[in-house]
Amino acid sequence: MKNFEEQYTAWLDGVLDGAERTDFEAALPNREAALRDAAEWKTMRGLLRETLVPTAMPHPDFVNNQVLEAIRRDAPSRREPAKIRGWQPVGFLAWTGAALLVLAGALSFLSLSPNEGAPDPDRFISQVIAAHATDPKLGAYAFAAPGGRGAVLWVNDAGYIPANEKIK
Amino acid sequence: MTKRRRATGWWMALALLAITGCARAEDSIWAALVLGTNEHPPKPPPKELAHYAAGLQTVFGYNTFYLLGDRSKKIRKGSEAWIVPTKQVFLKVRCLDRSVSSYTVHLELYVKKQLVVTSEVKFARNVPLYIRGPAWGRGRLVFILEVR
Repeated sequence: MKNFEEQYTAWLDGVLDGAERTDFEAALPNREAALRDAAEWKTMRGLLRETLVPTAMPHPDFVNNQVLEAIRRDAPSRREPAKIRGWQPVGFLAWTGAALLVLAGALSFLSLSPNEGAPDPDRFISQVIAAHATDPKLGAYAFAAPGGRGAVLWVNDAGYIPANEKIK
Repeated sequence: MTKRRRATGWWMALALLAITGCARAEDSIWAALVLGTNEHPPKPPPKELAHYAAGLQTVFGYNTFYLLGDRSKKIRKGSEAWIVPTKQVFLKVRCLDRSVSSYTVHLELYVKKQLVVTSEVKFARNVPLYIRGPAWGRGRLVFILEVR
């Protein structure tokens, strides 16, 4: 269903068929004014067709070639993003990670290696290597706790603290 | 781009693992000052001492143990610390050496500001050392030291 403007334009151009044209002209509010507009439009269209002739280009092929060449030159730069050389963020992160890994390995080696060698047979045993009481009257002895998992440093007569003296 | 991101992720994960490994290499020494007494009926040990109660009872002969204080200190080669400082009893700990599985520690026990005993102890992880300290009232003070 065409609206009024579309029907009016078609009527001006003379493309409405018989029944459509008759209905449209009957529905026009001011038929005389519309016929006057149509006559003026036909006159103006004829004048425009006569006067507005496209200017002929002196060397159309040369101009076309130049335009096409310019389009071809610009096309690749639009399609492909420019490559950035050097340290990109992701590459930088990867290298930082690798550097941290090497550093961590070196630190582990330095902190753990001095006594690393043959497996320590006593690695599950705590033991008193030496004990010395400062007062010859005292005695300090060491032995393994029952069950073997633990060591005891036994200090004889290490002193007496009366119950009325606070510990903490 | 996806491959690169995946590679970066792997690198970061490996680095994190390595750093975590380094962090684990630092242990702590836990020290507890315990009072052992004989009571009727005996009282159950506090939860911190539950793991040690049987050993304490066998070694020292007491049936009830009270935790007077405990403390944890980071331990590394060359570190020195006063552990469980009280008004009457002090324990000084200096780490002489460490290996993958153990720490060698120099201990000094002070009672009423007097140095009573010095000792050199090799600690395996999670294997305690019990030190029989001075008597207090009707019981006795006992130190428990353990590297964790």
